[in-house]
Amino acid sequence: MLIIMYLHSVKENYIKTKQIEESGFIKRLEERDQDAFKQLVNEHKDRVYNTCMGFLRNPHDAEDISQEVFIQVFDSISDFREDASLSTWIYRIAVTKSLELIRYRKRKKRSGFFDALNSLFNEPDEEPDVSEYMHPGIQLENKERAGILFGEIEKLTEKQRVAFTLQKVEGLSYQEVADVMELSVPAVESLIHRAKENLKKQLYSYYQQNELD
Amino acid sequence: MNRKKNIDREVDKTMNALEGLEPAKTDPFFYSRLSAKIENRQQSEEVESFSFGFAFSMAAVILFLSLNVASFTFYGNMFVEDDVQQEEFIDEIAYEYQVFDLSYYENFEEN
Repeated sequence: MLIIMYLHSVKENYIKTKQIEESGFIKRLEERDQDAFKQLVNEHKDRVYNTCMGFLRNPHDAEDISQEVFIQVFDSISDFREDASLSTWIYRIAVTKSLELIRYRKRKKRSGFFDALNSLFNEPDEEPDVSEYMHPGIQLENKERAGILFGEIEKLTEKQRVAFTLQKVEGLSYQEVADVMELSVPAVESLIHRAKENLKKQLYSYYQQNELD
Repeated sequence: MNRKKNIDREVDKTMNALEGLEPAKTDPFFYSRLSAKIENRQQSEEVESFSFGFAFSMAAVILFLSLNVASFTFYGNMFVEDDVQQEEFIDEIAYEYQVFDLSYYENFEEN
């Protein structure tokens, strides 16, 4: 019992120390301290890039959006309210920006008629084909299956897609996903459960339509 | 039945395709590219704000001058018209009341 209480107090002290350290770090960022900004970028760049890759599956888009994320952090660090951790806030920005790009691409696809009309008079836009790209961390033998799975993930609702991607691709815990999505843990569990069920159904009909060898 | 089993197996395999996924990483020059982008953006913002400020002040000067010219032209003509109208009005009054007709009183005495 005493050991548990001791461990609990150690944990609380650690959290408090972390919060104080983070507050000081945020103050340095607000003062436009270049070293602090460099430290922030180096600490979070891979996770931000990986999150963006999980949604966008295109290294160029992921790089651009990752840069946009850090530019927004640089610009609006004074808006950070410290009700979540800095890394959660950065994740939120990364998810929002990735989704914004996906929505923009979808809108663009819908306005295909106007694009076709536009391309009669102008050079057509070079939009990368997402299906050509793959998350670089996928093992070679799983590439084809992962491509099919990513295709089906895109058909999920936005919330299910975000929760599933953050948990499966980024490897976040349910609690971390809940923090990023500003939802409760049970809500995230439910979203991921429904996402898995829907994916199974979608994959079943996919394999029904595409006869197995 | 066999087909259903095969499909179920494929679905399970595909669902597990992301297992052991290695996280994607940026290259070592990410920060350099990012800081260059921020610097370029700040420079272009400065140029933009200067050009906007210049354009805004030029537009304000042009607007001020054109308002002056327009008002001078418009009201200038109005003053001329007013002068003409005022002269006509005085003449009319003078005619009506025969202010400058000296023979009026002579005619009046004779009658």
